[in-house]
Amino acid sequence: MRTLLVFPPQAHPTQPALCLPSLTAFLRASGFPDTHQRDLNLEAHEWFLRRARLERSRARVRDAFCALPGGRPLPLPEMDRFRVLSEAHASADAVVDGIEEALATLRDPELFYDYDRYLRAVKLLDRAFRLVSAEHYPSSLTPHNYTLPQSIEKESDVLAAVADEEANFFCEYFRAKALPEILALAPDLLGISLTYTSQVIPGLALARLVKEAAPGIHVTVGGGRLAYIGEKMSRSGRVFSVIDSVVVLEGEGPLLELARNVAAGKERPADGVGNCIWQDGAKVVVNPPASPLPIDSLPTPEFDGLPMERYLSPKLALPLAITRGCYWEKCAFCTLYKVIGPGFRQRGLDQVMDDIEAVTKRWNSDVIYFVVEDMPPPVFKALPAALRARGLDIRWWTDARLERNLFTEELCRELHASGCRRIAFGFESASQRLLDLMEKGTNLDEAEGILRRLARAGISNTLYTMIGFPTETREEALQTLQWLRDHQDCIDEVSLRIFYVDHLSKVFEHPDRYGVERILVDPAKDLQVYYEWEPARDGTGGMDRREARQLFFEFMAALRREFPLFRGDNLLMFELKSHYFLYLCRYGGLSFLRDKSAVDVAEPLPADLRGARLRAPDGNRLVELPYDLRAIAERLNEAECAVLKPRYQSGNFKEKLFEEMAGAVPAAEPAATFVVYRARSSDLLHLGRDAARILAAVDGERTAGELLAGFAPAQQPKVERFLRDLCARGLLTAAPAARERGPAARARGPARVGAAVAAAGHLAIAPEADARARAAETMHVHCKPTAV
Amino acid sequence: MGIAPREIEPMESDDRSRAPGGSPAPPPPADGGGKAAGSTGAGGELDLEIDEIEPTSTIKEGFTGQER
Repeated sequence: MRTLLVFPPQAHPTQPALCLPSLTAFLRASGFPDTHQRDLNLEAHEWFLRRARLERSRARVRDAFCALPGGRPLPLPEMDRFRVLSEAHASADAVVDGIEEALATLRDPELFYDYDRYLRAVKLLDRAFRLVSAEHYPSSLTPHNYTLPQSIEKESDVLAAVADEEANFFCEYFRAKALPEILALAPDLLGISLTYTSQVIPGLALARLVKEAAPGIHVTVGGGRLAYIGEKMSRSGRVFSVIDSVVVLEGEGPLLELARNVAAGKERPADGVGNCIWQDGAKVVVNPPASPLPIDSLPTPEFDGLPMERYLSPKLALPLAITRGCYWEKCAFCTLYKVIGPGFRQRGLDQVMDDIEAVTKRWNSDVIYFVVEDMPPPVFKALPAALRARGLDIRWWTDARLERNLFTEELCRELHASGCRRIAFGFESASQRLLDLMEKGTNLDEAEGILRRLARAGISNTLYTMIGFPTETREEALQTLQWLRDHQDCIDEVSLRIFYVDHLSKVFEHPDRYGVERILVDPAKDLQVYYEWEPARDGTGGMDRREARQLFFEFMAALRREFPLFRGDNLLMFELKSHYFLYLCRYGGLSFLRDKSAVDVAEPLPADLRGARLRAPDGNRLVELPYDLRAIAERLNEAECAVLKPRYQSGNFKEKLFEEMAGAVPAAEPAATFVVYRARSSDLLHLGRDAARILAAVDGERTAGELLAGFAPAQQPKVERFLRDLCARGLLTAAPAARERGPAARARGPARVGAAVAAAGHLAIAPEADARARAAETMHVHCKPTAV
Repeated sequence: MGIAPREIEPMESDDRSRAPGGSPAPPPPADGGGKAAGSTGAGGELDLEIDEIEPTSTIKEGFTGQER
């Protein structure tokens, strides 16, 4: 009996998830040693981030860019496509040439901590994701999401996406690599983990491919996401054309039973298995719930089989569970305590210490993420001594409630001594009225003291904060923002989101208690989890949804101005949690980014600029476009801010944006403009016409003086200032030129810039570029390697 | 209509009749084309604007950071 468990794309590729190692260890310890696990998410990322694969993306994006419309107004959906393709096209060379160095930096134990180098690597990685996405427009892959034209909220869309191998581009990797390897392994049971929304369509697509190739393999899906949609997804039975069974809620027990039944050769392996949904003939069968296991009985998670040396991180943050479920179980907005387990359970501390000892030794990492909903106070109190007693020197972070009377000065010091470097709290709001309505059980007056004591001990904090809980007024939301501002000296990170009702929450069950007039249920969205609602009309319902969304952006603008972690490029650090934690451990706090907000781009200026040779830095690319990309970017960003529902909930690509905003956003008129892609910081800049022409005239041979000589004397001071500005912005390098005399210098200059452009002809297009590419390049400076 | 093939325009030429994508050609500068390098635009004013293009971000998606 052979079992294979897989973690499909898309999820974050920086660290392993806990689900498969827990299930694998449990099956192996329960009489099924031939259990394997694969992180197909990381492997799929590696597939698309190969240089050779990115070269293919570059070629396909170039073709699509060439075919872009021009000469007529662009409506909103085409504006979006124009932006995606233009940006990807401009960045493609730098991405292809830089991807290997970027990935190496993220995995390197020393280079990773060079913050400027780190930021450049993650920015290039982001561009690589965009290049792959542009090839498959409108599908989109980011470090946090994978969206397709189809919606995740409709069964018919999901099933269409599962069959759409062009839009659902992970199928390319499945067919080329994962599927042959799975078939070669020949498992009897294949378990596919669907933890995140973004895994549902790729996971089901993989199931389809496996079932088509090997119908005899029992394919089951399970995971956190299915606690929300498993039953809805199974209702019509159509999903059973690609899978055999669905496991909702906790997976260990049901998976073991399934394995036993498959091993026994039962014709209907899911029959009678708790938490399982399956199809018996034409009938969908929902089995009774299984009893959650006491987690004391579970073995230490086993990560063997996962590509532990290849995650995009220099050191692994190893996830371990101390508890399952929530000890509080009351918050009106939350549903996690209903879908994890359910039921609160705690693992003995001795076992937790065994777990830590085993995984840190095996995987040579001292970084642990305690995966809990909220660490119980007794565990906080006992953990430092337990770690000390076992001599375990680790660095760890976890989630918690702002518990009164828990975080004393002494405990904070002990926690720090035990390796605690970050605690993420459910803060939610600075309105005590709202906290009480939410049944948070926390007191705002105590929050400040807790944060200050932790800060004094050297423990960083994160505050999960929400906007738009029912009945919240604009004034209350602004009060929360003001509280965050007033306490920013003791707050490191704010994780902000807009509140939406999900169908398992108390708000959904009892809308009248929360000033909700009506929850808007769209019958066409049969897999919907998050809902809009209308506030009570008597004035007690609080802000409407549009106002809440507007406030979200006001909050974010304030946070980006005032909190170092949100400023400029630092935001990237904030979005990559385990990387952020590694930096906290290395530098002891956020001091490393307080005086920094962007990648360093400035090029040094020689004392004698006029005598210096000018050239564009490697990877920079100048492109002429038929529409104003800057104006289009601003218009698209404004439109996206105005859309009510975020994409991470609906899963599909900008459907709402186009639906709601297409009529309100004017079309983009044709306008020949210039942009330059700056490789060092992976960003794009809009250039004025003459700015672009001057930049295009830089050929790596001519000096600034020779270039300036082509301008009228009255213009030369301004152009010289402009050349200095280009150096400061990283768009130009100026290196002292060896003194030249004789025919060569006389032949080259002084010359007009137009002649310089002509001289630069051999640089304009890479020699290997084909004729089509040459035709496509409206303005393309392909730089030679740096000659230092 | 696709984006038309196009070479880099030298500074001394203001012939913009081959604007990409067949977009309407902007009006010629007041001082006409064919001037010396750098002479461009009305009254010889150089258009040397540089401005960052606003990036897209997950912030626009209504949440920050990863899901818990």
